[in-house]
Amino acid sequence: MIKTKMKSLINNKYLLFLFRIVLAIIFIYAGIKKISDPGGFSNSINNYKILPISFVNLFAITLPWIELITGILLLFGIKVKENSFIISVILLVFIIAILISLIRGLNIDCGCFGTVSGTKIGVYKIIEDLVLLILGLILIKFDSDFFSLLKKTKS
Amino acid sequence: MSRPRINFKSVFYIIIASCIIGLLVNYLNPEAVPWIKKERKLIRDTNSSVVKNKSGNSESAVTKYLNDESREPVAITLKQAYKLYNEKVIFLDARDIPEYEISHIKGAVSLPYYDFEKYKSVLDTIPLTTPLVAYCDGKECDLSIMLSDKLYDNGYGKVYIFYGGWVDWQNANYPVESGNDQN
Repeated sequence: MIKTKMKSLINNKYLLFLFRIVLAIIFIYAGIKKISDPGGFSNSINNYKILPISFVNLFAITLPWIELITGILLLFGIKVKENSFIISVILLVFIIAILISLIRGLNIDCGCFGTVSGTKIGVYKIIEDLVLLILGLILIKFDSDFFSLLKKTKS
Repeated sequence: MSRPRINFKSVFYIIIASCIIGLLVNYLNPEAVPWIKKERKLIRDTNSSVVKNKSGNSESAVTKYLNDESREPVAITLKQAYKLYNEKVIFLDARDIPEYEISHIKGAVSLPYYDFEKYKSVLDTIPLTTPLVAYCDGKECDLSIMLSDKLYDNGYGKVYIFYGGWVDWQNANYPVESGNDQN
């Protein structure tokens, strides 16, 4: 009963549209900030001391573009499920990376939105990413084709 | 009705396309980073008893470094840092302001790496030839290295990295102070 009620509450095209836009704008913003300072982002990744140093820059070069492009596609309602899936995986990776660093007691900058005006990693960051992850998972489940550039011709 | 499942082929294409664009843009970007990151190797002084000996003949890395016009930042030990401290060399605290305010090396100037642009005015009165020591938390903290590189990029040719940092300094019971008493 409660489950179906919850489902009908979330499965509202305006609410899903809102989730989509929020997630899209955050990822576009994060992507642009990182793209504008590849060196800084590379240092941020390196600070986590999780990736081997040879992979750090490849990650720093490509990840921001994945963020930006999935964000843009999500904004226009193109391949919403697929892009939400990619975003959710990225968020999951971020959450794990921050968790590992917190457990190791690293006092480092998050690098989440570039290094300028950066914030430190912490429980707050994990909660922030978890909320975004929930939005992503909801979009994977329910899709959102409201105001979509690619209106589906068949349902 | 929404589509029932994720099309993983599309996922793959989106990721591949993004990666290609990223690599291409990086290739064209004048501020590009190399594909493979180089490890930041610290030049260390092996003769820890010598730091700054203008008249002496000792040719440790640091003394050579001091005599040179401009060099990449070098790492120093606690002992060397203390010597430089006693010679009134300026210490720069690369940590965030709140950490600096709780406690810092006595006389150190706060220059948080992550807010470098905001606080870099503290450098205005410091000539480029002045020796500087950058420090942060301790061994696991790279802020001192990153700040040193930034200082070097800004023209400071005599920068030391006190990599042991704040933790070693405290353990050695060397002079500290708290609060924000820099101008």
